[in-house]
Amino acid sequence: MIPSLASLIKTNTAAESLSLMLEIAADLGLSTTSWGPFGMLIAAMETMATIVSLESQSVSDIAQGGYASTAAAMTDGQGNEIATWMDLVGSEQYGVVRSPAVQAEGFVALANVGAMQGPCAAGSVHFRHPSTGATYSNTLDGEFIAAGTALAPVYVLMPVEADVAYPGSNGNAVQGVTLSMTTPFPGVSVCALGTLGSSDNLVGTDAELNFAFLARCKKKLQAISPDGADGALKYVAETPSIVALFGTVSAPITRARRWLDYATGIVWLWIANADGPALAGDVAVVQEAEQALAVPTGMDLVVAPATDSAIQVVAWIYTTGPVAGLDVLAANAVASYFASLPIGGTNLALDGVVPLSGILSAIQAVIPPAVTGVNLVTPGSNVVLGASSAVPTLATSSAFFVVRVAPP
Amino acid sequence: MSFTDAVYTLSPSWWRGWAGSRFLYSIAVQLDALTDLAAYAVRARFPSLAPPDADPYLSLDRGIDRGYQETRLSWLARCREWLDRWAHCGSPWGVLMAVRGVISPSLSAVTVVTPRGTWDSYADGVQDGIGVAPSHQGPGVQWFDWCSLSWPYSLPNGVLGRAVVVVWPDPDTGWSQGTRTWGDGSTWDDGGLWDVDGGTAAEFRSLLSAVATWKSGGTWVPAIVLSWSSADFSLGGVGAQPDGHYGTWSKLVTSGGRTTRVPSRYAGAAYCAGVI
Repeated sequence: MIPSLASLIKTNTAAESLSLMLEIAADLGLSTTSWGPFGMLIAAMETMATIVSLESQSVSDIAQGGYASTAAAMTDGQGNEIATWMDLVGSEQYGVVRSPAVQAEGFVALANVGAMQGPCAAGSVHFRHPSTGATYSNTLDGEFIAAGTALAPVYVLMPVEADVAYPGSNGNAVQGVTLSMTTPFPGVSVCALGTLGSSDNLVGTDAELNFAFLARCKKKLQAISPDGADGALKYVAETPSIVALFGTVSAPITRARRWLDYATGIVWLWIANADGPALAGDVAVVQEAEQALAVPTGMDLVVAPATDSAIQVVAWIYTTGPVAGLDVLAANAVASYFASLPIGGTNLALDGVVPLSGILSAIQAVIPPAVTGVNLVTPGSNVVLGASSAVPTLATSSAFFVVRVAPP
Repeated sequence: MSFTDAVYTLSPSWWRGWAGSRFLYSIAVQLDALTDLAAYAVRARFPSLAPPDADPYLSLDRGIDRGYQETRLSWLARCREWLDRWAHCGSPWGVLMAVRGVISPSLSAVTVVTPRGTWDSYADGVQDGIGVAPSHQGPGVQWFDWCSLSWPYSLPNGVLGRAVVVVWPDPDTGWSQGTRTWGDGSTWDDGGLWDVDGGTAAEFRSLLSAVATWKSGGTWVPAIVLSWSSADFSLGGVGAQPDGHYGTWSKLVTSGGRTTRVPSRYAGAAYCAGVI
């Protein structure tokens, strides 16, 4: 009889294996109860029981790794997802590779009020996030221009990228944050993000999580057909290696949603990245990829950016741990949560919402268990996005107030 | 050679006595069990060798849903063909095979028809599958005007990219024309359906889901029709046909100087709406 999948996935503890060995030995007539707890025989059995237990974990892994749906759900003892098996199934069974993390990048504005002038090479100017500690470096050669004064500084926009030690959202910095320069230049200071032409946010894209990877693997199935299936359109947009064949995008497209205009027959494909709606240049690249690979003859497909739905979040955070920087971490956490939501929000059948519970969970997960409570002032309920094309982003008017409380 | 045999064979003679051999056996037999389990764990991913409790994962991985009364053997066969079947996704053939999968083992007649009269069909009793293309006729062989006259789908180019799925359920589906009447003792959400006897809401949700998944992203399927008579909605049929007013549930009819609102769709069929 074929054993059930559940029995193959179940692991045996060393104690269970030892118990079974002793039971078999007793059934065979051995007087196992007389062996004593520290005897050579019991010690030998305990050693073998431990080995059997470890190997039963291997059997469990093999069984779970056989299905993409179970491989995606594999976690280690701490509840962290295991990527290796899903990577294997994704590449070997579906021919799909996990999308890697992409560093946060953007522009910071520097104000020069002194005599600092001259060129600076790419990678020679370094910055640090005041709360998260993430570090950044300039990505292109640049030049400081002197003759600025305290009353009339000269501003320079410098392209920066989070250093490799801070992949994905670890390098996020939201509007209002002022990076500090760890490569000091006399008279040069950094302006807050969102001012003087600098980027509003520096947003990285996390490596694709198991279930998002699994979903994309399944969309690949629809891409086998040349007939323009829904999943095929999304698969092309959401796969960086495919999009890269047609041009460079500013950030990987992480979300896509198809919508059919019944009146005109036009098929719309809204796309977004981790920061929100895709930029116009990115849209053009994806449109080209879709036309080449997924659009059948006769289909009118228009790729368009998703629409921005800024949500104000105001929260009081109660913590027993350090207060400094927690507000920024909470803002990053909520921004990351918004980045994980599909276009149109969840529960699409009911006008698509951003669940209140999701925002709360994101904040509470910032520093467990130091965060003891969160009072979410705004929003007060699930946020209805309304537009089918909307993606939530964190409004600049959001605020996170941190209160230190005594440990319970 | 099993671990139990190997341990006995490789052991020195003083381990092969009555007590020693039993001791070694009680350990080695677990290693044999582990080896067997490892082999089963490898085989479990293959449809033909998968244990029944792996079916949901097999279905999720391969995107082949099991019909509500489909035999496991039939479904496993479709699972093995997953890549060949997905190559038809978005085409009428793909939609027809998906519908047949839902109602399996029934071989009821099924059709995908466009407003301009392109008919792709499996006739009653004809086996569908990879390598068994549906019959194809059209366009223009017989128009199927679902909603050109009914708001809001009457824009000039609004007939493009549409298709209607028609199923003529045979007894193997377990479905028959609804016989419920108002006040017959039925209650809301009692699991039954108003228009269909013998069916459940879950069965029709799976039917809708199959069509939504397997149709082209640029095609709108306004309804799945369950026709109880082969004369209705069929190519060359002499019974009911859509008259362009089927986009809404009612239409205005003027007779004898009076305008009244009447049902727009033929009452002798059932309509599953909601496919987008």
